[in-house]
Amino acid sequence: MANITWLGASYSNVPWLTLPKTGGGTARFDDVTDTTATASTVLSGSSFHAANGTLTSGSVTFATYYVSSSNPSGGSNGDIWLKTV
Amino acid sequence: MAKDVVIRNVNYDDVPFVSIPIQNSQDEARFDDTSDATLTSGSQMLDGVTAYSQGTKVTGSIPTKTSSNLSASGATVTVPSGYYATQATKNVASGTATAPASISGTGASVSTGTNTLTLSKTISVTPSISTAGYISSGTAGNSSVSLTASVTTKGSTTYTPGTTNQEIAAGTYLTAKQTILGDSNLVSGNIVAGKTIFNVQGSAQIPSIVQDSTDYHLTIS
Repeated sequence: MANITWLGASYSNVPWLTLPKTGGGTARFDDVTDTTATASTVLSGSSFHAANGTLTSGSVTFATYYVSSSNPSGGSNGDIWLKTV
Repeated sequence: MAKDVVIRNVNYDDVPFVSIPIQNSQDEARFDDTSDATLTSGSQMLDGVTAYSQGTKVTGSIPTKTSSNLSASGATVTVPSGYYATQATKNVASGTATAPASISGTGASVSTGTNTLTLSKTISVTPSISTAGYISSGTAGNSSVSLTASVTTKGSTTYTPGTTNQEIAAGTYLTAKQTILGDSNLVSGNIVAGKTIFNVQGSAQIPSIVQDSTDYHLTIS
C-alpha cells in the first residue's frame, strides 16, 4: 500500500486504484510491492505479478508417489516409486 | 495485461500499470493491472507466500514437508502431500523371517500378507532308524522331514547248485531266508577220480571199457 499524491491531494495506504475504462466499466490496478511469492514457490502453470510488477510463471512441479511391488504404469520424471517386496 | 482507461476525459490505451507520485518523495508508486495472472487460489503456492492475481491478493497454502513428516507403520509408508524442497528419506526397520516349521524341498515359498518371502534352504538329513531293517518309505527322524527310499529286495529263495553260477545282485536286501541246497552224495567216492565238484576231489575209479572194432570184444581195465 502506497502513500500517493494525485492531482494535488494526498492519499495514504492506497492498495489499488480503480480507473474508468474506455467504453465503460472500471479497471483495477494493484500495488503489488508486498508480494512475497517467487517462481520457485508457485506451481508450474500458474502466473502472478512479482513484487516489481513483472508477470511471472511458477516453476514448482508435481511429483506422484507410488507404493507397489511392481513397476507402476504411467507416471512422469520426478515421480517417486517405493517398491515393496 | 493492459487496460484502456480514461483519466480526466483523456483516453489512454493499453495501460499495464499506473505510476503516481509518492507523498513527499521524488519516487513513484506503481499500480499494476494483474488481470492477466492465472493464479487463482492458495493451493497453487507454498504456504505463507503472497502474490497478486486478477486483482486479488492470494496467500499460498501448500505445506512444506521434510523427512520428519514421513512415517512408517509395518509395510505402510505414509508420505503427506506437500512441498519437499530437498530429498526426503525414511528408514524402515529390516524384517527378520523365521523359518517355518515345515519346509518341503528346496526353494519353499512362505507368504506373509501382501508380501512374499522366498526361502531357499538346503537341508542335510541323517535318518534315525529305530529298529534294524530296511527303509521302504515313510517318515524318519525329524518329523518335519519326509524321506522316501527305494531298495531292491529278495524274498525266501532256495538255490539248487547247477552247472552255472547263480547270483544275488549287489545292493539287494534279503527279506527272508535264502537256502542253498546241499547234497549228502557230494563226497569224493561219488566223484570220478580226476574230477572235482565244489572243491570235492573225486576218487571213484570207473573201469575203462573198450570194444574191439573187429571182433567187438570188450577190454575192461
